[in-house]
Amino acid sequence: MVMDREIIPFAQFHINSKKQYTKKIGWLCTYVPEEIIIASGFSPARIIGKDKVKKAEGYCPINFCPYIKSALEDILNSSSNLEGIVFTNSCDGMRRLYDLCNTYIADLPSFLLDVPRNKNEIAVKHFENNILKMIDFLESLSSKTIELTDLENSIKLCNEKRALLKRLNNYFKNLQSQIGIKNYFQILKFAMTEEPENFIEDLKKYLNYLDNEIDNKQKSSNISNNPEANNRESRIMIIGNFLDEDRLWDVFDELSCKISADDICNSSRYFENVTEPHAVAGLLNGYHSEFSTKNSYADLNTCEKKDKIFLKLIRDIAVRQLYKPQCMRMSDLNFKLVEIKRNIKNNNIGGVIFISQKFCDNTLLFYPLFRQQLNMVNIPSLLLEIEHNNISTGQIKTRVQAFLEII
Amino acid sequence: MSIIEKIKENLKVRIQNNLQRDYIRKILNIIGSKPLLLAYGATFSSQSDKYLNIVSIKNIKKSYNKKSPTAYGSLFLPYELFHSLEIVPFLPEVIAGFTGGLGITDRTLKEASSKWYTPDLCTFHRCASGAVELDLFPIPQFLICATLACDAAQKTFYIDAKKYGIEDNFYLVDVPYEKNSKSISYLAEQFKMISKDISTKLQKNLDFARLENTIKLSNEFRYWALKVNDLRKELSVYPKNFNGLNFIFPFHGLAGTKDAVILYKNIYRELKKLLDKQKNKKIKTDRIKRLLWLHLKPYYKNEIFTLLEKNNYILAFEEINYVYWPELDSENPFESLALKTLSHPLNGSAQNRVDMIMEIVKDYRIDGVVMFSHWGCRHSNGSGRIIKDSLKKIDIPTLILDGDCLNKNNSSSGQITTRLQGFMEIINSRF
Repeated sequence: MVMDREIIPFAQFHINSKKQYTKKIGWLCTYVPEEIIIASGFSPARIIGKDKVKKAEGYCPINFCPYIKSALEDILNSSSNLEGIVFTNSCDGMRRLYDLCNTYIADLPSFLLDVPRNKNEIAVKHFENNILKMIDFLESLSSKTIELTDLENSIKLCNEKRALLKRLNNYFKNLQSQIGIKNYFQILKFAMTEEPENFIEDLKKYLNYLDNEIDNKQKSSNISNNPEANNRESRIMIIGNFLDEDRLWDVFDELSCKISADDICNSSRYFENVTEPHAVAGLLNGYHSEFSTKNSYADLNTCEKKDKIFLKLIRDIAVRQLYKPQCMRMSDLNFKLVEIKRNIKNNNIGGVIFISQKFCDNTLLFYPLFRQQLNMVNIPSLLLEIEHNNISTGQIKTRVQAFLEII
Repeated sequence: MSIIEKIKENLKVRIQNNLQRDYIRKILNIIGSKPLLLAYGATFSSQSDKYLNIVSIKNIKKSYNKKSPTAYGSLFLPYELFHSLEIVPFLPEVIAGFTGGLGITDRTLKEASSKWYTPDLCTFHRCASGAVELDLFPIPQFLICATLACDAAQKTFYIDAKKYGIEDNFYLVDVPYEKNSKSISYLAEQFKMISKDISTKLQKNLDFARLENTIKLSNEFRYWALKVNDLRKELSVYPKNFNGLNFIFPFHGLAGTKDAVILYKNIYRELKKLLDKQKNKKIKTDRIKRLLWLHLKPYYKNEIFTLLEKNNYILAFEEINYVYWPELDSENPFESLALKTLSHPLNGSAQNRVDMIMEIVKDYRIDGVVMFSHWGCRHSNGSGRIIKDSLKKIDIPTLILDGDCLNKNNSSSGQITTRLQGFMEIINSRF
């Protein structure tokens, strides 16, 4: 059944973001703290692998992550648009991508941020040291020292963006037929690729418009208050890695299902949690970190006051990054299962669609455990392996339709 | 087929027909008994192979017996930690290779597929997971995994921990990307925490005297391994059936034990005799071409090494036998083991591996490099282009040989032979 949807597109508000002023630093993984890039005077731009793989095929083996290959293609084609790239050691593929860029695009400055896989005190400290190295790298590119105020302002900016995206996500969950699935993921793409200040302005206008528009529509047609209409839709959760596929989201837009929760690299794992909660107090509820206690900064007491505040902010960033909804690369899979099960319960999910890029070991090796655990609570799941920029929508639509019939 | 080979074949068939942990334990107890083990060892024409088989069976038998706690470990961990804690290491990835030799990979892979391990994943890990699901591997009390080189092990080990209900006894060693003083401290701290935690769970104190002794034995093993590697720089003839790619288990899993010292001392003695013979011109070596082998080999029956031998090619060296770490310091055991781990050429940038390869090519007078491109190994295969281009700069031909170490159905023997023949023609044309 195709839903009768009246989508309010973001495109008409997407004006500021088309203007690009600042020099860009590319990034690929959500464990890269955008705050640091912004504080150093650059604009963070996620490399999304928009180009079809041609040249990159010659550098990578055939059974290699298709997103990594597309990202390499993007870098090979447009490295001149970037001042540098920050990679992470998120997975085997990403480490090799860093090696390939370092070897074959040596003119483009690149840095690899070592992100721990464990979440504990020593891991946070190790991560802090690595973030300080990232600062050195960016300062050498910009010939500018990051001052305390730069960092404070960039944290504020990132937190504001995260909070606005969270607001958008709430709309998406509750009024999906007005937001649209493809439209939502396009907004997220802009959030990750465009200048933060401009994007924030556009998103604010869009959200304000939504506030008024939806309020009016609800009054006139009572859309969201019709429980029968809501029940007709199958509430699903999408789990996966980096899924930037307009054609894939078109499939979901066309089907009678509602994505009530997600856990993917270009959605909640990007914007959930803020750095240093008091900076944007009240924007996000319920965020508490075990590291946000006075004792957690005790080792910084010997530093000069200004240094201490600076290092405290770095620690806040490190904690936010490590304790945000975790990627399957992280060590504690039980924590991931708990996060997912909580999402399933809170959002009354009827089934989970697990979408992975082909050859992604971290994600694909989580699926056997995940499926087994979901079976134990009688939640059906569907595994879709896709190839970035090269998906077969017909096949996917048939499989998703069949799955929706089951749930 | 000799009587001994018939017995071995018979044992293999019996295991294939009785795929159960208890049956494997029974077989290991029989062939692992001292008299039978010695008799079994005597069937090998080479001393190196004899000791390799004896120490392997002895240690695998230990992991199946319930006398000491067994711990699963991923390949590149410093196993000195295990031996100092008196926990018996069991290396699922390596033993998955043995399942190839036993001819049971079809069964383990099928089991893994039925549990949703997709076919694009590494067969070492799929076989190991299948074997765990089939209850073929010993029951672990601890699972320790390092993030070095490979993403897959940490996931499969965690799933195994969940199966046995011992998630609290799963430890992930987060190996930093770079080698520097801060990363050494971070890694050493993790080793210390894991050792303390395991000791507490075993209701013991951390035994520093034992750790010191393990470090001493590890250094002794390193000394003999270096001596073996040194004489291989000149050696051009090897004992029948000797294959350096078979030594991955003792090289890692037995570091810090007397067994490793005895094994490498014996390899040295055997190879030294051959080198002396070679030097006395009793063996002609002028037509022999020397290869460096990267990654591992197929563990099922294959023609690769027979073909190479027939064409006067030897594996002059294998990257897995490269002694990459400095001598350990018993005064600073955890820092020392951290440095060992961080020194592994597969850790960090691909340039570390390239540097090691360049050194080997020079020291071992290598004529060509074969990189076995095992299906599903993103880490190794992802560096293929960089390695090939680096070797091209010094005019060393490289063959990236696509295949699968364990799944013979995913490896075309005809294609492998054709590509090897073509590669040998290129090298031959240079002589």
